[in-house]
Amino acid sequence: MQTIYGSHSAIAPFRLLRPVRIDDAVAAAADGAACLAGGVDLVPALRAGRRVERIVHLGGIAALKSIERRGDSLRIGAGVTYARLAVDTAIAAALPDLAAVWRGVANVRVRHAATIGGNVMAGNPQYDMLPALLALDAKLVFAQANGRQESVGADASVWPQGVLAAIDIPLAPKRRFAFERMFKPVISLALGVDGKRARVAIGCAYVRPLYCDFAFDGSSPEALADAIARDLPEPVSDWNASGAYRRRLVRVLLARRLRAVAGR
Amino acid sequence: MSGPLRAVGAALPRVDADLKVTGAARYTVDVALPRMLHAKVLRSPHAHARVTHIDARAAAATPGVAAVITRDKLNGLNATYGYFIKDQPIVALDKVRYIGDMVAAVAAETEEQAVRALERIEVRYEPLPTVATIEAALAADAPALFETPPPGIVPAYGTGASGFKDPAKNVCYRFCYTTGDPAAFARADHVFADEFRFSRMQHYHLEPFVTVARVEGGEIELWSSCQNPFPLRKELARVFNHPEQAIRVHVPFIGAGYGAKNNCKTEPIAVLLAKMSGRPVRFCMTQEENFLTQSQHAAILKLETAVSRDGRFIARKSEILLDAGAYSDASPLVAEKAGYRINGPYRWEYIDSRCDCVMTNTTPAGPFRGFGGTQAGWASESQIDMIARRLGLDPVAIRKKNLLKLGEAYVPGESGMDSDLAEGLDLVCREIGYGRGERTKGRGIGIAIGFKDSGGVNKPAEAQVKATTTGGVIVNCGTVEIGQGIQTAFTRIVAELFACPPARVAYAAINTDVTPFDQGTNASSAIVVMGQALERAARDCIARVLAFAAAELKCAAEDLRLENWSVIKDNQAHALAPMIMRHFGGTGFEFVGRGFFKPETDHHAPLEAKCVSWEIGWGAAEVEVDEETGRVAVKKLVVSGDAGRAIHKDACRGQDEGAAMMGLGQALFETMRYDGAELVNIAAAKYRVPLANDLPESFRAVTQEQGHGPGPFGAKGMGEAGMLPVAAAIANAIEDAVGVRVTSLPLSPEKVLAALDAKREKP
Amino acid sequence: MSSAAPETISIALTLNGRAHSARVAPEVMLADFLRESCGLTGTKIGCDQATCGACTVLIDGAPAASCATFAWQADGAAVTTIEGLAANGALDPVQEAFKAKSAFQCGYCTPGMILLAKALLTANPAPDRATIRDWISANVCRCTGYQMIVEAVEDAARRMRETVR
Repeated sequence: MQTIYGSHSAIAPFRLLRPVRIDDAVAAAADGAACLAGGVDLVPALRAGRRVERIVHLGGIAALKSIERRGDSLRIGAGVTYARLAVDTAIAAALPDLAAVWRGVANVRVRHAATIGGNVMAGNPQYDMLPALLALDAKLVFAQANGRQESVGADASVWPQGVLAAIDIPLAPKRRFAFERMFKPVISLALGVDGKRARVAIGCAYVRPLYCDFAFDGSSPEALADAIARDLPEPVSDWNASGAYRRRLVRVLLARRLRAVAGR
Repeated sequence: MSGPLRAVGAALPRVDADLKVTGAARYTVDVALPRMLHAKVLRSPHAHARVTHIDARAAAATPGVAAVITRDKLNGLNATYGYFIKDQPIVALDKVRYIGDMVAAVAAETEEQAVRALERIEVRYEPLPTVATIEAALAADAPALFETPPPGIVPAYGTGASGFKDPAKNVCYRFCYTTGDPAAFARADHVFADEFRFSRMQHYHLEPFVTVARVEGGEIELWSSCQNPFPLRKELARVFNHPEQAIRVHVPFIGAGYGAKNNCKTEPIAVLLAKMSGRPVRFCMTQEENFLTQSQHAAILKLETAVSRDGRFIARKSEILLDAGAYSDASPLVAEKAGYRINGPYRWEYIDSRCDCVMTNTTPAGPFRGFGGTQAGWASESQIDMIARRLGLDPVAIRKKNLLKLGEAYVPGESGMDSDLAEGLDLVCREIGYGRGERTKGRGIGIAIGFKDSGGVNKPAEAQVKATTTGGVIVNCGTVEIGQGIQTAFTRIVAELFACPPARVAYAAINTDVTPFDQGTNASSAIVVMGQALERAARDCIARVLAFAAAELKCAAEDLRLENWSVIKDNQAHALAPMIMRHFGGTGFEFVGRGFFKPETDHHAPLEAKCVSWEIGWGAAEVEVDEETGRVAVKKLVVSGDAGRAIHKDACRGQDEGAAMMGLGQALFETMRYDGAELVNIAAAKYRVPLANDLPESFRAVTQEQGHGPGPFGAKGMGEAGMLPVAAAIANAIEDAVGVRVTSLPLSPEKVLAALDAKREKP
Repeated sequence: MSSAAPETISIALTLNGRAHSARVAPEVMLADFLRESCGLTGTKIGCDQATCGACTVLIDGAPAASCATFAWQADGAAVTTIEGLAANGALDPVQEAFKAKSAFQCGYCTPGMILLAKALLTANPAPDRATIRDWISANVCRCTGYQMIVEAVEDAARRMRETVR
């Protein structure tokens, strides 16, 4: 019940660490410090009464904000903000669909604060980054002790220890990426189609975003969407919508997006 | 006075513009006194429980804590407050009745210390069965929220109206109104019975409930974000057994209220903590707490409407159930108005309305823009369209057939309409393009007329106007600037009467010691009630000035006219300032005028006085329905209110547009969601309110100036009309678009799709 | 609880165009630093959950929720509050537009809304209506219904372009 009378003026004191090297952040986090990037998730928790002894601020670590081409993928630092993702020229050149979608996510104020890493690590089923990364076949790169890094697919069921340092998005010039967000908080759909391979990731309907891989040659979008929606595990029913309605929206919206990709 | 109006209707900025655009405007949240403590309140996690044990000693011993309130600290006080019914305790006495009910309070040096102290208060609860809905509360085996009826009154009513306290278990109040011949029902060709459900919103005023209180030397002084400081003072006097004249209430700018900020909210706790600690106390609620303090009324409305086959309205029997929440608050008054307004601006042969306030273990419901007129309009204007379609009649034509005419009494004993209803209806029909063009699949148009009596009930108002030596004018009245622009409107009216530049007229700060009495900034009454008192006060002041000048100039006052702080006699101007200083000395003088207005008490009028004015909100919506998802897009929304005479055009437009967007939010998505008795989407992060992206592609408020209002220069009240028709207009448009009728709010995509599915399945 | 003296952090920022330094505890929010330590009460707390935007200030020109930004996060940055807009007693063009268009009612969201508009027009001096609507969707106004605010931002854009010429 602390949530209801928590306020920004009643946050319990904490010690602050502001490292410039990722290794120091990893050590602090491993030692129990809470990570703070944009604060979009941590600050409300503190306001609601969560007490932390130490906070490690990730915003001063340049390495977390780098954007670089690495072979066939673009490595984007976890500390890159939504705003930067939307306007960065390297991203716009390499991932134009993603950049275009990201201009419309959340609002301008949130886009300047929220980081892509923070969004992924929050584990909030309503959030957009993870469905998008699933649709893009992205990998998550975790920084660990002693300078090690461990990389897993965003679709991995278990993520490693450490601090999320970067996201690797495969470059695929022919890949189409679309993100249907108009029905949030009921449903969101991220769709990636590369040649005949397609993946749809579904947000807002499950504890963790669900994804489904399928073949798509441009034909029968309705039948495909129908089959995929029918085979989904039961989506959550909550005060926003019933599971049945969510399933129905997946069928309708996926069909529309597939038709758009097929040029119809 | 002759010639065109100069101050009234002038395209000048609002008088509060500079303060508000520079951030210099002060609100109660900005008030800080030396040594001020911060209050926090412990709230019940249970929706219904006995409080069997409470021990706050550890809290009191917490560092920084200066005072703690628990129920054992209320000796010598009248511990419960309310409007008609005094049922809400300062802190819980024997029971808690909703999640969030106040149980204890602390004042500490910092907010953080206060929150820590709350954690140390031991409370033991014995949970009781809960009733979270109207139906559950009315069930035969429902637990009673109040085992013993709390003390309260039923006010006097006039012809046809009656009120009852505690008519049934968990019903704290019932209002009934009837007029005409019941046999009319039998004369009808058709009787249509339909049920409607109205949702529940939270006011979401950006400035929270907040008070700073100081109790020193037998004096209670407070600053509060409160729309009715005088009734507040009276209630605090009663609660604290403290003389009224030793209580002083200041009201700075209010950061919005929409009705929530009336009577006791943060004040009793702030005052008591200040008294106990000997230091000023600030009690500022969080937004979550706002959601647990006051809400709009959800409602179930059952209408039985008798009509002739050609669409003439004959009789209506209505049963309205309001979800009053856990304490009565203003519910009895809202019940009066929902029950009174349910019939809309139409002619009926027989009316029988009943409205009950049903107590549930949820946030107390209270005044919310529309005040029963929103609930009533949702049901009535939806049903009129349904009836029209069942009879094969056009929804606009059926309305025109039954609309009251200008000057026609609402019901026997009442005042007449002070707007031409058909004129407004024609206007919105034109604006929306009603009946024009071919039909596009999935698109439709709907019209509705929102309606309420405005001006309050039998409401008194007093104002004072002062003129200084050099022609400065001060308006002194208790109407609060809550965003509506009343400081601007009132200073312009007075400037017009004084024939002086508007910049010469100032609005005095509100301090109950020196401000004349006002019952409250509510009911769209400022222009039509206080405005009349103010006009009288201004004229009284001017009369005194002219009498003085006449004596100085040795002529009759009738020979003189005031213009730009000179008196004009035989086309010659005589400056007043030198005249005043010659007579009174170099330190000059002030002229003070007083004005009072109250409609005459009249037992023939159902509400004991003829209604001062009628607020009409005409609305029209064009929607596009996505038949595969049920999503409704409002392509075009037009609302129109009749300002009578627009004292400040932008202020009038702003009221209608702001109200309309509130209506749009309620129509499509905004609602408090309860899981049982627990409010699930409490506060901003989860509670969706309209944003700029929700604006319809085309959105217009058209301010009419029909000129029939009782206020100064023919003016009428604005402020609520814009909200009243929107939900019904959208529901009507959906039916026009895709042939389905949804009778409950919000008109969510899932609901609309379900209605479409049901229609598709019918043979 | 530790009995050591609470830790404070030294911060140096540019506040409304002037250099300002202070020591703040880590948990102090920028909103409280501005309102209480600096006496700049124009910044308002609305929802206190970084959602309504009433507490918006500009940090290096970008709108930020001061109720959810720690004061130390502004270290080294340029912070603009509503009090920083008017120069030499003359209102900023955005303020003039809001005043001329009466694009406010209770005024509580107004400081945040004006700063938000300022940030938009600095980034995009000639936004179309859809862009304006989208941008100001970051902030809640419960009173106006937004249409008059959109018109004020258009008017501000025109004023700013005319000032430049």
